[in-house]
Amino acid sequence: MAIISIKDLTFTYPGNAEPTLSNISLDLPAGEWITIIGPNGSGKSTLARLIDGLLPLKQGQIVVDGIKVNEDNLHAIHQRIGFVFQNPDNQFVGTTVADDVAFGLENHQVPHDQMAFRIHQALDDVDMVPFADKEPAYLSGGQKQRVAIAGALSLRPKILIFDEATSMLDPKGRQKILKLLAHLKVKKGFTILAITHDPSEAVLGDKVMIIDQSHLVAYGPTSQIMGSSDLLRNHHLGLPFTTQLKEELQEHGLKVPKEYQSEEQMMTWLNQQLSSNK
Amino acid sequence: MNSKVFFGLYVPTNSILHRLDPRMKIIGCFWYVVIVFFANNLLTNVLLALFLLFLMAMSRVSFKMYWQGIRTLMWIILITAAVQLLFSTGGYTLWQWHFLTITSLGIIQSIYLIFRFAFIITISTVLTVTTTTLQLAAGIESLLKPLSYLKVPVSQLAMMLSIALRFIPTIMDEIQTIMDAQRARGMDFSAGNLFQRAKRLVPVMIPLFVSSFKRADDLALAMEARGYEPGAKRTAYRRLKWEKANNWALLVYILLTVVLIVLRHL
Repeated sequence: MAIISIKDLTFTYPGNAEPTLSNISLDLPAGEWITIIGPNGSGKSTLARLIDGLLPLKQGQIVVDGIKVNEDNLHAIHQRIGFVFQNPDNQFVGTTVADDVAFGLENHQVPHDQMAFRIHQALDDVDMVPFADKEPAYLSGGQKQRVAIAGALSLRPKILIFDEATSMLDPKGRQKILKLLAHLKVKKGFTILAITHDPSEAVLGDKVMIIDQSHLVAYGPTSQIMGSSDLLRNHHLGLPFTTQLKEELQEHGLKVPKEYQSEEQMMTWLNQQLSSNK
Repeated sequence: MNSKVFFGLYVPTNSILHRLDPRMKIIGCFWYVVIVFFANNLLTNVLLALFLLFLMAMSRVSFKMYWQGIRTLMWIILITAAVQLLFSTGGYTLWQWHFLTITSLGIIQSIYLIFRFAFIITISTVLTVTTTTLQLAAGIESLLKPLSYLKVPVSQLAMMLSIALRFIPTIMDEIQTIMDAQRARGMDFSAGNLFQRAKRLVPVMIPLFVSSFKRADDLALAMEARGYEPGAKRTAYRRLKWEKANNWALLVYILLTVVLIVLRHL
């Protein structure tokens, strides 16, 4: 069942002549991890913001979890969607970790006697309980992003949107966040919508969509889209490591599988090739 | 510059004063500042000094911390006292040169003035070393609550205050980064006279403003995504609880005020 459905969406920023998004229609299934990739300025972030009702929708229609996104339903939409932004510092509202998680709860008028429990639960999900009383100045970027995720989780949303949420982190912090996402998807059944620039991050999800020059140009299973070097090249996108490798092998006259292969799959395949060639 | 300890005047010794309600401490500090101006003779000043020493001892914070508070404002105190000394009249004239006079009353008054300054600075330090900024903000919000009946947007003001406090370390870090970037381009912030140095801060302030606006934009979006609506009803995570000890503190203050009034008329 589609948890987010978008119909004939066109969006132009006030003052701009060209639309940032034009004629987008698609259904996103519940419980999947969908990655949005596309060059800078292609409209990825705009799409994510429109889904969460952070920008006024004028043309087209978006329905999230059965609720139409419009000005009257914003509260309900914000509760269903947890949004994690790029800059860890600029979304930390509270003076301490616990206060920051509490911020969303206060806005949604969660009664005081439930707060402590829900804050603890959310911090536990992201492994940040020992930091509950710490101030943001004492946290690393990755830890701040985990707090941001906890803030989103505390509202018990159904959808999590990550707008390049790992792009400002060091490799270690980034790995931890990505692992956390995979865990949340499997264990808690969240629908995840992640915007990224990094091909190695794009291959982690179930589906990938490519947005280029305001149009939705491709949408399909990760293995299909991330394995197609021509498609990625055409839209000026980086290739995942194994797809690059496949391309090189092909140039040397080898017959390679068409679909995207994870590094393990690629290793198995290479081993098979080597043993069969003997 | 360690930005983490900016405003980190707070010293966590967990004394009785630390555990008092921030509202009590804010009112207490405010009230003390008021009665400082009612102290008009030696006895009342001694009383206030003793009371202050009592609070300082109770806070279990080293006297060095308090001295630092006074030391940073030393010049302002001394200059004000000197002005008072040279321009006030009354009592016997001890020395005169053109329009400058030193009189016996002037000496006494400038000594009181120094004490007044020292008292006010120290009582504020007592407040800030025993109360976290978070508690201070919560206390101020709670004290201003009655104003919301006059349509003053107290909760929004409190939100602004707490965000401002939250972003001080972030902005301090940013200043450091920008200054380093300018230094890397050959800027020397320490050379030249005061005017030249102030002028060199312009290339620090402009990027700082630009990035602060960007931050504010991001933050507003993030707050909206988390359901914040200015003026809408919200529940509160931090709640202030008025415990028994606060009543005792209040009583101590009332006693202090009564004794002060009596001593004033002796």
